[in-house]
Amino acid sequence: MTGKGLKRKLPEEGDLPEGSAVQKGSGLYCTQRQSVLNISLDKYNRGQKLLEPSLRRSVLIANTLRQIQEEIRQEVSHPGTPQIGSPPAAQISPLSESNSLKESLPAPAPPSRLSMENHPMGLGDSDDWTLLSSEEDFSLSSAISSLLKELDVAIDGSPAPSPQRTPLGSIENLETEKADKQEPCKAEGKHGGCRPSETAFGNLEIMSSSYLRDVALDDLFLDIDTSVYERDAGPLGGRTLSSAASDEFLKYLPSCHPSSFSMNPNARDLNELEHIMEILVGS
Amino acid sequence: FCLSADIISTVEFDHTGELLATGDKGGRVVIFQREQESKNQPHRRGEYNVYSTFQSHEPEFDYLKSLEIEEKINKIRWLPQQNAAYFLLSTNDKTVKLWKISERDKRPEGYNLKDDDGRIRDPSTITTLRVPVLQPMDLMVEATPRRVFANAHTYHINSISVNSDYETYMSADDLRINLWNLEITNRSFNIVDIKPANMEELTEVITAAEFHPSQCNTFVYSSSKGTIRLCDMRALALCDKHSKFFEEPEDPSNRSFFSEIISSISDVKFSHSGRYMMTRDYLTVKVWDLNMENRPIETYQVHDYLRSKLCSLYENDCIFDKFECVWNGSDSVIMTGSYNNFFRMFDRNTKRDVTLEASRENSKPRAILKPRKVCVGGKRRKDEISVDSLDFSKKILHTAWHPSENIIAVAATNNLYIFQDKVN
Repeated sequence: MTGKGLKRKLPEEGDLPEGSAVQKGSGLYCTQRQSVLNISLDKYNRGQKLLEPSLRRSVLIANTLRQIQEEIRQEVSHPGTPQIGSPPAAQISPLSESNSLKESLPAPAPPSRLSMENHPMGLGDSDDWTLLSSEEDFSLSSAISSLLKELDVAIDGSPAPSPQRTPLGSIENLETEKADKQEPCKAEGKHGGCRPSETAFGNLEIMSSSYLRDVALDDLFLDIDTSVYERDAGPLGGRTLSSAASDEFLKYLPSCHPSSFSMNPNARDLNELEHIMEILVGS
Repeated sequence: FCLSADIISTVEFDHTGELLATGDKGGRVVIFQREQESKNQPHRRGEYNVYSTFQSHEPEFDYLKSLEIEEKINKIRWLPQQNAAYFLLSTNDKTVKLWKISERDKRPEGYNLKDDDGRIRDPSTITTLRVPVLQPMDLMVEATPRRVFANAHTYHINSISVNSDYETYMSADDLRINLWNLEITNRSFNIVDIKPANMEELTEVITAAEFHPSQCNTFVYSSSKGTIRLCDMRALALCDKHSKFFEEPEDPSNRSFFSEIISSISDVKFSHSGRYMMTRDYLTVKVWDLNMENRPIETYQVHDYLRSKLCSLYENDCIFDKFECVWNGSDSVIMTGSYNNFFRMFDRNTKRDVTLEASRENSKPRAILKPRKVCVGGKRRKDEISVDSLDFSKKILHTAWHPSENIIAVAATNNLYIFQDKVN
């Protein structure tokens, strides 16, 4: 049985040591995970292009994708855990607490928020979420997956992160900067005084606004939305009809549409967008 | 050079072991028959020769979905012999067929109104009554389709299994299992349905199913998540609730991104005794006691050296290969295939195992198979082969074991190998 005694080595192309031999949270693990994510996305899309994709294969690949996405999502919502890294927990946790964030969002509504609400994918509460049709479900999933794909692009483009950083590590980086500019929060824990949360929310809002001024959020969402309608022309390419079985399944599972890749590959923006998407999804 | 239509996709001995059927990707079935032992040629003890060849399934086109239905034979199952003819079920992705294979070694000759060529005799030449007499002729083996069980499966059929009552059988696809009466083709009963109301929620598919060898109300089906459900048809008409649920808890030290994929069960087989069942997942074969649901009683490593290569095997799709497994007649030895045309046998009593290779270069007729060994790391001994030299395109997915003797059939891509235990 391989595993603990294996000496870690840099992953060679296509030949990664088994995941359990690598400590979870390390850079190597995240590289492996990213690699598996890419392979899975590619595999899944190619599989769907076949006339009759094997249902078993599609399900297994989709489950692998979900597992990885879930892992990444959990790391984002609980960055205080060892997986992410070292910044002060107090600054991070209020920011990433989905509940508190949800409370803050409806209050002062930046222009971005309105546009989000107008858009079919803009959600205020979880009730709306459950009413989503499978088509919109699909577009959110495709958004998430395309974002994850974009993260990969961003990671590749940016300088090599230090071993402790996860692909989403730059969020905490940003938080620290902003917090320093505002009033540094004392590490009182998230309930310690109102100052830390307010400051954190203030951080978020300021960041959101600036982010949203920088990037045309409408266009981003339009991109994703378009991908839904253009589904048939996209990864499914030249297929005129598809089998009913895989068609139903296909609606749900993520597919990477080329148009959504045309987003600004700036790592910071993407991380924030990812973050916002997380909130919308109600992670 | 290998024609893809010749790739063998299933191998199955009949209940006596006298016949061996193979199905291929081109929809053909080839049946081999064991030669009778003859005193004149004692060294030709029980060799298998071609007995019958027929086209079982043709490629079809589903006009509604604009899809071609493959003619590849996924499974063959024999019915027990009840008269002079042989019956087997063969299936592709969508349609099961019952074939009757019968011999004809006599021919009626001397018809009254027509001559032996079939031409009508000139009535003026008929002066006496003559009754046809059966005359011997060269043996002719005919295969005729007796039943066609169609239009019952939306998804791809992966298994068929004949019930011990010999009246019914089941066919299983990715999401449903149907029960058929062998006599009735226009109706089947759905006994398992795991299709979620919302296909978005689909995370598990059925991978194999089999009837218990003696309890005609009991069957099992395995899933892509490494679970086996045993169902009792007496309890419910729709067996969505299982009587028993077999699953081994995951070993946390072995967890990887591919844990679920490699836990997917590719084959499940009851032992002949009916007390145990065996499952094959990507890296292991497990033997389960039907009375113990929480873990298998035995686990055999087929090719654990692949555990560190899972990512590559995922990339090249090999991780999705579906290997079958078989019991020998006494349930003491189990066999399954691997890569590089290797196949493995595990003796359950002595706990010894052996790796053998099915290849033309290494097998001359009546040569003894030499055990092979895969070298995992460090120094490679002379006869060993290193993991990186394994040929992953040469996979042995289908094997069969004679019901009572030590004769095995191994399908290596488009070649069939039959090995016998050498006595003396």
